[in-house]
Amino acid sequence: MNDATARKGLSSQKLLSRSRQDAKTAYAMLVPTFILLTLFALLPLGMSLFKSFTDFSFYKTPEFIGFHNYRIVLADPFFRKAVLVAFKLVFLIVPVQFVAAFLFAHLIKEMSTRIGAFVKTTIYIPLVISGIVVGAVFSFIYNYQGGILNSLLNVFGIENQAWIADSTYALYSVAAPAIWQGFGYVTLMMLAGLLDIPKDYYEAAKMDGASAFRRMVYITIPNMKNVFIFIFISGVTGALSLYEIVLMITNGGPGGETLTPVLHLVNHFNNDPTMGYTVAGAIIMAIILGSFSAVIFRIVQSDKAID
Amino acid sequence: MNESRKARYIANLIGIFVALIALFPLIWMTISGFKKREEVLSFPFRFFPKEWNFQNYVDIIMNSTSFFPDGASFMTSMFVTFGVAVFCVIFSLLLNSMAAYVFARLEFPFKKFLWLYYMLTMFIPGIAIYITGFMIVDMLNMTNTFWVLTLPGLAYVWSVFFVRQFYLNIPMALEEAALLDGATRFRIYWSIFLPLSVPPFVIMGMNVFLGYWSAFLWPVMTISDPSLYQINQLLMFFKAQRNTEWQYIMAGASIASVPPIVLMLMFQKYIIQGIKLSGIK
Repeated sequence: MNDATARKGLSSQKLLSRSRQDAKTAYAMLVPTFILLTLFALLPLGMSLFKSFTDFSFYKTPEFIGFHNYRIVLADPFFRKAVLVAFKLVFLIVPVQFVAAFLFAHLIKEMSTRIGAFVKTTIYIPLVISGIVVGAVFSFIYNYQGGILNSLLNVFGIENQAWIADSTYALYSVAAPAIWQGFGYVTLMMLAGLLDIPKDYYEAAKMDGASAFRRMVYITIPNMKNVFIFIFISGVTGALSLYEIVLMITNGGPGGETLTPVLHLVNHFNNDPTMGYTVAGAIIMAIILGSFSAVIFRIVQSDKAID
Repeated sequence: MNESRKARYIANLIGIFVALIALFPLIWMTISGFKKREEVLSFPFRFFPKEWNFQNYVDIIMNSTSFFPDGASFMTSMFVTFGVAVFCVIFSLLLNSMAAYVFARLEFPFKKFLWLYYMLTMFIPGIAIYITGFMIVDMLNMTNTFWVLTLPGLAYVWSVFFVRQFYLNIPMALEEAALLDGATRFRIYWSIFLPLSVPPFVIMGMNVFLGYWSAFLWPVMTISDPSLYQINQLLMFFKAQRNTEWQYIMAGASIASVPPIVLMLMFQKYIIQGIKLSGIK
């Protein structure tokens, strides 16, 4: 008995020193990431927030001016238009990608193993290409004189179109490469979600005589809910922050028809000394984007909890 | 039976067609890199070049310095970008997995607070911190160095998060035995957890590499020394300066796309796994 208590005391003492030791190790192992995150993420965020309330520029000492910058940004027709352009792009890109990927994921399930594997690899490739390269290739494709798109249309008797300079097409010309680039990733996400649904659900429903449509509505869609939300939101944040592709293809033109918020803010940063405006605009975008990604995170988190 | 074979046949056919659309812009870019200047936007239209001309690719690889007034070189930029990406893959996996281990296995004061502090950074979009981040690296005299390209992105909490999830699923039994043998926590991380981390490391490593290989805005803001130009920065200048010489732009864009495509093909079996690992159901 005595022996046992002694051992117990010893081991709890040991445990205590162990946990003290653990704390030291923990802090030591966290130091590098902690410093980097503080220096290059949280400190800049704090500075941005602070500076957005000042009339800061690179040339003078900042003075506190309250919400003045935010008022200017929100009243600025260029910023408003840029946000509108961003949401137009969301509407052009996200639904098309979503529906096309959903259908194509079903189709992949029907393919033979070898072709399915080939297709899965191939459609993923555009995702690894940088936005700058994608923009360069598509602006080459859209070239007015002798670009392949106009050359192909000429075959059908359609005259050359100014895909980039004509305000009727410019926004579509920017949306198309974005759809093209993300399609494979979205499809593979959809496919992973589809394959995760237990087959028995479908078999049971078939035995009960449920039609394909009902199986889709009552089995596929409810089981894919989180995948759908994840794809939808990451599509929205991606489309809202489009930058490189637009820079390369239209550079915001014609007449600001494709000027996205990020492009607008970067231009502002480059050309205008009133940094308070740029930073306040960036914070507004951050609030929009951050609240979307918070939703994504909650989904990832909730599943992990179930696992 | 016959019906389902027909369905498979049609699915295969559509699949190949879509795969070709996915590849088409890249194929077109590569082919155009083989055309001569007078042919690249020629009329009447020809798909393939009259003769396959390697000169554009050779020029880009061998003597691209002549293209740029400031003496930047395409291949130097490729190597520097590659070096930056590889450095960041190695150190970001190491540092972030260390943090992941700590949050998965150790108990210590302020753990909850620190975890929240880390996770907060996941919701900060780049645009919100580029300008003030630039001010910080400028104050630290880091602009135009290797470090301004590498250090700011190294700590990446999405990686910490996913590696931590992976570590949480490793059974306790392994390390309990090691602890009884008197191994330190760091030793356990180093010799038990690290060797088990290959699957998440391949996925995270690929993401990190692709992220750095696509980097554009941050390098443009912080690098003006041509010997440190990142590849997308160089391609953008290239297009801006020689915007009619598509044969060169396309050849350069093709070469710049080789590393990410090769990497992706090498690790393609992990991609699907990675999508599953992201854990959305």
